Formats: sequence, structure tokens, C-alpha cells
Amino acid sequence: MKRRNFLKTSATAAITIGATQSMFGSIYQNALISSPSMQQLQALTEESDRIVVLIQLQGGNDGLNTLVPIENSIYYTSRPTINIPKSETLSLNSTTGWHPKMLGMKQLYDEGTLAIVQGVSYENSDRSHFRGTDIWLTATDSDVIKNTGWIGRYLETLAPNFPITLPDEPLAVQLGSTLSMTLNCSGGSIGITFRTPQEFYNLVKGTGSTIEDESIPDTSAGHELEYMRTISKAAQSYSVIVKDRGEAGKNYATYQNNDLSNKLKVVAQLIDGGLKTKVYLVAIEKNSFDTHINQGGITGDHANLLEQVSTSIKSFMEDIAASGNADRVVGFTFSEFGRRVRENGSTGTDHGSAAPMFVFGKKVLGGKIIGSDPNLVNLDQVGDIKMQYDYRQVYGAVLGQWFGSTDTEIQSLLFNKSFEQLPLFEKTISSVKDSEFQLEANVFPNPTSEKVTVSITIPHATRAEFTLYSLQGKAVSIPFATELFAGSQNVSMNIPRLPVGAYYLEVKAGSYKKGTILEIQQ
Amino acid sequence: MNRRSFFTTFTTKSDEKKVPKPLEVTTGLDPYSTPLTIRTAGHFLRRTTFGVSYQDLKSVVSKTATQLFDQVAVPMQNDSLPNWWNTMPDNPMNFVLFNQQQGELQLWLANQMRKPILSMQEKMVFFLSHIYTNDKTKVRYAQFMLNQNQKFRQQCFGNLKDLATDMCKDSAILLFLDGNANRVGRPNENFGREFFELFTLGVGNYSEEDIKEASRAFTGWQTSFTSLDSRFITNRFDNQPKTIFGQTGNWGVEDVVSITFEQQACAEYYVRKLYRFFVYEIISNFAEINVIQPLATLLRDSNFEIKPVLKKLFTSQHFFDIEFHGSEIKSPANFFIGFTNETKATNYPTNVVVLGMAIQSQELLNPPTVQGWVGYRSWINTVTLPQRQQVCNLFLVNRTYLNTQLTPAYDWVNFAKQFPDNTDAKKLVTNIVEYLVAFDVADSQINALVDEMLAGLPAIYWKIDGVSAPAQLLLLMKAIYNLPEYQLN
Repeated sequence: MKRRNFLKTSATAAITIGATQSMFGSIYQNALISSPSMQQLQALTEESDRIVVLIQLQGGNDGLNTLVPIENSIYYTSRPTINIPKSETLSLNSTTGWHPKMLGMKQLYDEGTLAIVQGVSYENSDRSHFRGTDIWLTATDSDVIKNTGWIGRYLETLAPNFPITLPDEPLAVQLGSTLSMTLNCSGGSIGITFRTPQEFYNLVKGTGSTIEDESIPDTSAGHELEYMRTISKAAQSYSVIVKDRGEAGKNYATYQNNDLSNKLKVVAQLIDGGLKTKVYLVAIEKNSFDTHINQGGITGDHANLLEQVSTSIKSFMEDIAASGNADRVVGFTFSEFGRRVRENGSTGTDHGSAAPMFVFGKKVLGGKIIGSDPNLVNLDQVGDIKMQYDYRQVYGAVLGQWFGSTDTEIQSLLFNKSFEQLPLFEKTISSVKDSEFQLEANVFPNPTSEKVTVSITIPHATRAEFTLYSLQGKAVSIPFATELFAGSQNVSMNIPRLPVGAYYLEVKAGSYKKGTILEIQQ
Repeated sequence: MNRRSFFTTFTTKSDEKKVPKPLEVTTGLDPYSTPLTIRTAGHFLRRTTFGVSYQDLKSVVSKTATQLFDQVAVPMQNDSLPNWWNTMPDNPMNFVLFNQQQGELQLWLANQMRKPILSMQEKMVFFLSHIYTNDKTKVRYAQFMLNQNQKFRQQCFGNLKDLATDMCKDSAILLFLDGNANRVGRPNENFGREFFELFTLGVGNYSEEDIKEASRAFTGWQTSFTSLDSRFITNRFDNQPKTIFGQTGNWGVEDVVSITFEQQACAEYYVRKLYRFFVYEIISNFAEINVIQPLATLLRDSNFEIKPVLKKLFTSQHFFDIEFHGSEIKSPANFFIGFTNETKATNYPTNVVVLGMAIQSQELLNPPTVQGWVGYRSWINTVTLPQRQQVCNLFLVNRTYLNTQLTPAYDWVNFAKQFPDNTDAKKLVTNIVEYLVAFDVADSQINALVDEMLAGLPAIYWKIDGVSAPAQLLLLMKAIYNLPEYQLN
């Protein structure tokens, strides 16, 4: 879908309307079109002002001790030393209990902002950390090896000239000091990595090549050199903007002091600061979830990890809600595999197969479990839980329902394979094709002081939302929502008390948006 | 030999999107007989050591590849071991002591890697530690880690099968991969899986059933916390028949190793590991047929003695092909030890090397996962690249890094005087670049570097004994160290 072009065109068109109908001078208008903040604004008002946060649990998280099958005697007999007694679990439903350290995620689930998908894996699940992780990161079948990641491939569609032309702001950020394969696109890694914005800035300052000649030898070294130059340019150009956005952002929630919390805290800060990054990746690294030995039960290694995951996600959700970004951020956890039903001889568990995933966010269709309880009788031949859903059914939902990619686009991002999307996100994408849906909107008077009327024409009845943004891209009004009928109509609304100046009024009907500059005067 | 072996061609940046070009190598394992030059000997030594001084490099120019291989493929004299090497800490909870000794061991290892000796021993030891990974935080006992590392030293020009047998009984590996917990009736598959996947065959060459059965055969071997060697405890051994790769018997360690090494995939696995570590990450179809397969046959035929394979590879036309000059992305080890060895900055603090490598995600004795370091492009990201440039910039101005005062001011004029034609600015820059950058760079870049050195003044203003020379050389070195090209090996 050429959503990007569509919106660019519509925003420009809207300005023209504004100019003809108002005192908006042509000089001011041209300045706005070419100014960075206008470009940022266009970017922000796209469907893809949405953000997804990937939380990777390295090592293979034990699903059965995360969501405990409290009524299943096979679970208890298979795990004589590491089981979680029913009485210790936090209640989820009649057959499943949360691990006792997962109060935070339980609360999110109870308030409807967290969904669970049971039994996620893929055909012929690979029990190697290495292969298993690559499969999840690249989004391939178990016997297909690729070196680009699904996130990298998606983001490349937003920046088709990468790495020759870098987007104004980094499309993907990994918190830490490594870059995941999932961020690889055909032009190298489309993501950047750092621990904190300030550290990143200090590091890059004073480094970098001053030689502008960029000859490339026609050998493998040249191939690697191009990659190196891309990274070098990304570091140079992004370290400043990341620092600025970091300084502009704040945290509004308290976090525990642990690895994942510290990373999510920076993510929330950057989102609040307005960084236009679409994908954040945070990981609990070093195969921490690889609990072959002394895994523990209600306390111990695994319990501590689950507590870290649960409390950090809870704090993060509180944070983005308080900063007003809850509507545009979702996240999910993933791990290369679950673990075997039967505990091993060393009070741990060996590599398994299917396991649950957790999807969180205000716009997530939460408070529900997709899939049935793990079947502990009908196991695969190794003794592992069989899959109910392919992990790409979750990825597909992220791409389709959340980022607005079409089925065809998703299919091409997943190597021409088609997966039925799981219903995970509030669907805002209309099934009507672009060409059938024309949204015409005029705004008057402009400039205005108290009231504004939008004259709007649409082909189908739908719900519409009107929101005012500052030119820095921050929503400054609570969305005004109303039902529209097919055809032409006038919608009037009051302008909230705001400083005099130029704003951006966005009309959103279904998945379609129009925007115009609205000048507010005394 | 084709034209490409003689000339490097350059392209300049185009607006079109670059797609990776297919490798164009057509050279195979035929011997490379051309006498070595600064360029080709430099390539050889960059790959087989952690970097050598210009003097050492010059000393091998005009030798043949075979002569140079014979010179470097020899054991070297190591420092004496830390005095605690065989004294086991008696308190299993004494983490202060564990950490202290692990830290001392890291320094000891880094010091061996930094030795300015023309031997490929430590590079081979490092290579083997990429196969048999380990984790000091899980093993805790530095004695076991060192003991395992010494086995790499014993076998680095020796026998891969013997090494595999050793590793199945190695105290550090038993601790790391839960071998101690793997007992009759209570199997733990952690080691069994990694044995096939990472140590011998690679993914796709064994079944889940093979893992289960082999894990049973690996039972019985247990770490003794009072001695370096593990012990075989009969009543913890699964004394029943097992079926591995279709062969049934009451197998133990030696049997599993034998059966595994009979698998077609085994020799191929090791040769591919060697190739990707020493030649290039990407194995072309041509290389698979003309390099990997013949070397795998050679490895099998030599009953897994590794030295004949090393010799064949490192003296081949394929290895010396211009395509691979500079195709390796420097690991943190290559980078840190490289720039200090190139400048013979032997007083650059080893603790900075160890810490700096750790910050760049290559902490010795502590790879991120059992898979080891992923390497290749994962070394370079928006944190690590500026970090490396910063490290060099601090080295140039003799500032502190990681709370450590760096080596006293380095004499760059003395460094420059090693190179021929050092009174001619362009020739000097050309010669330094030929030494420090792993492939030939375009003439336009040399000119840009000369400009950088002389701050735009005409070349006649270059006087190697002039008062400005030290400052000018600092500008040149800063420009070279900050080139992305410098991160290629």
C-alpha cells in the first residue's frame, strides 16, 4: 500500500485548501511544507506513527511454569520437584494460573490490556537455540535459512532507498550493545543500538571518518565496507537526534532496577520525547531462560526472570499511559521455544517446542486467551507440546492489524507464505480499498478562535475522530469522536484553550486521514 | 590466475541500491607459489595471528607461502601459568576468589594473544575456543577454564577427534553443559545436543533420538572438585545398550565420538568452521565444491589431524585470492590486539584490552551463548564502531580509557621512519596504508589522506624531521583509524 504517498499527498492538498480559504499566507505555507517539523508531522499522522516493542526472552522460556495448568495431573506428575502448586498461582481461569511472580502481567490481563496466545511454534520445531532463534527472527519455515529479519524487511518498505538514503530518524532501536538479525534488511541492519541516549551521543562525538572519498573495491572487502559505512553514517546522524529526543522525554512510572526494566524505561522515555522509531527491541540476553538445571519453582532462577518480565512490562505500560502514548504502543514477548513437559534429572527442563506468547498494549484485544490449554497427553514424539498457532500468525497481526500492511504485503514479507492473522489488535484498518474511499474535508473558519466546522464527505457511514496536534507532532486535544453518515455533512467542534499559533487538525475516518493546518488566533 | 588477482577495481558510490555481488573467486587449492609481498604476507599474518609489527612483516616478505606456514604453524613459548593453576579453591561459595582468578586468567590469556611472536598457536587456540565455548560465570573455577584452554593449546596443531574425546570428559564442559547432572535414569540433554550441534556435526545432521541416546552414553563422567581431571563413576553410567546413528551397543564416550566422526557431516563441519573463521564468512558454491569438500576429504584421510588441512588451506591460491584481502570484519580481539601489535605498543595496558573487548561483546571466557560469538557483521554496530574509533583516538592522544592511563606518548615519527620513501608524503602514506589497511585503496583516497596529514598544504611541506611532523602524523593516524576500512582484516 502506498500509504506514505497517499498521506503525503493528502496533507499537502489539505494545506492548499487551508490557504485558499483563509488568511494563511503562501510564504508561511511553503515554509511549512519544507520545514522538518512538517515532514515529521506527516510521518506522525501516518498509520505508522504506531510503535511495537519486541521483548525477546533468550534461552527458551518454560511456558508451563509461566502459565500453570493447575488442574492437569500430568503436569504435576511430570514435574515432581519444580511444579508450581495450584494454591501458589495467581488466578487466571479455572484451569490455568499465573506464576506467583507475575502479578503485574496478571493485572494487565485483568484490565484487558494483555492477551495470551497459547501453543505458539511452527512446523518441525527446531530445538537448537541457534536455529530456533534465527527462525523466529527471520520468520522462516524451520528448514529455510535467510539472513534478513522480518522487522528489517518491513521497515525497508518504509525506507526503500536505505542505506543510500537514511530516514530522518532511526526506524528501529535495540537497547543494548548488539544488533539483532531481525533488524537486517537487504541493505544491512536498519536498526541502531545503544544503551542510553546520552551514552550514545558521548560515544559518537569526535569519531567518524573525515575522508569523504567513498571508493569501494570490487571485492568482498568492498561488500563489507559498504555495510560498515552504513553503520558509520547511522551512528553519526542518529546520535544527535536520539539525545535530543531523550532529553525531551520523561518517565512517569517507577521501575525496578533490573536489565529489562532499565531498557524499557529508555524506550518509554524516547517515545515520550517523540522519537519516530517504529520498532524497539529489548532482550533478556545470554540464554538466561535456558533452565536446564535448578530452574526452581515458586522461587529461584526462573521465578526471578518471570518477575523481571512481569514488573518491567507493567511499569512500562503505566509509563506510556501517563505520557499519553498508550494508544500507539503495543508489544509482545517471544522466545525460541518452550521447554519439555517432563522435568529432567537435574531439577530443570530441556528444550521443548510450543509455548505461550504475551501481547500487551491498550489497543490490544486483551483479557483473553487465544487457543486452548496445552494438551499434555497428545505430545509430539520427543515429548513436547504440539503447536496450535504458527508464530507468524502473530507477526501477521502486528503487520496487518497494527501497522496496516495489506495481505499481499504481509505475504511478501513472509516469503510468500500466508498465515491467518490472530485477532490481537483493535482493527482500524478498513477493508475498503483506497480507490473506493474518498474523504473530502474542508475546515472553516481558518484562522479561528473558538469554534471550527469541518465539512466532510465520505462514501460509507463510519466513525470519525478529530484531533489537534502541535507542529511538533504531539496531540494537544482529546480526540473528538462522532459517527458520520455517508455523504456530505458539517461537523462543528469547540477549540480548546491553546496558545495562539499554527496547529494541525487531523480528521480520521476509518483508517483514512486528512489533515490541515489550523491557525488559532485570539 | 585471472585478471582480478592482479588488479583491484574500484567503483564509486552510485545512487542505485547496492546488491551484494556474488563472489567471483575461481581459485582453488592449488599451491600459491608467488613470493610473498607486504600485501600478501600481510594478508596471511592478519588471518593467522592477532597482528604483527611492520618489522616482523618485512622479515617474511619474499618467502613462499609454504615457508611462512612452516614458520608460524609451531607451538610457542607461553608465560608461566598463574600459580593457582592446579590448586582448587576448597570453598565452593567463594565467589570473590573465583572472580579474582577468572580475572587473572583473562589477563593471562590476553597476554598470550598479545605476544609479538610469529606463531599462529594463539589464533588456533582462540578458534578452538569458538567451537568448544564455555562460560566462566557458570563454571566458576578458573582452574577448570584454564585446564580446558590448555587442551586447546595441546591439540591446536593436533587431532580434532582426540580433542572431542577430551572435551566429553572435561571438567569445565561438564559444569558448563550440565554433564554432572546427566546420570543414569536422569538424563540431561544439554551436552548431548550441543555435542552434535556445535562441537561435531552442525544442525540437521542428527535426530532428537540420537541426542537422547548419546546423552545416555555420556553419563558417568563427573567433575571432581578436588582435582582438574574429572572422574568416571560407574554407578552413574547408563550401562544399557544405546542406538546412535543406527548403531547399537553399550556405548560410552569413546564410542559416541568414533561413531560421530564417521558421519559424513563431521569433517565438513570442521572445515566450514575453519573457513569461516580464517577465510570468509560466506562460502560460495565454488568454494564449497573446490575448497570445502577436498579439505574435508583430506581431514578424514588424515584421521582428523588438523595440520595437513591448515597447510593446504593457508598455502592455497584460494586463500591468497585478492577477493579475500580485507574481507574479514575485525573481531574485538583482532582490533585491540591488532592496533597495539602494529605499533608495538607493548605497554598498552592488558586490562584495557580485556575490558575493551568485553565492552565490545567479546569478553574472554564469556561468550554470549553456547553458540559462541556470532562474529562477522554482528561485531559492528552503532555502538561498537564509534567505540573502536574512540579507543584509537584516546590512544593517539595518550588519554585515560576505562580509568587506566594509556601507554606513554607514542613516537609516531619513529613509527613512520620504518617505512621506505618516508620523505615523500604520498609514498609514506601509501606505504602506511598498505600496512594498516588490508586491501588496496583507491588513489583518490590516498590523496585525501595526504591532505588530511598536511592539513591541505602542498606535499613539499612534508619534512619527516620537521617540527610539524609529529602533529601531522597524528592527523594521519587519526584519519586512518577512523576509516571504516580500518575495521576490515
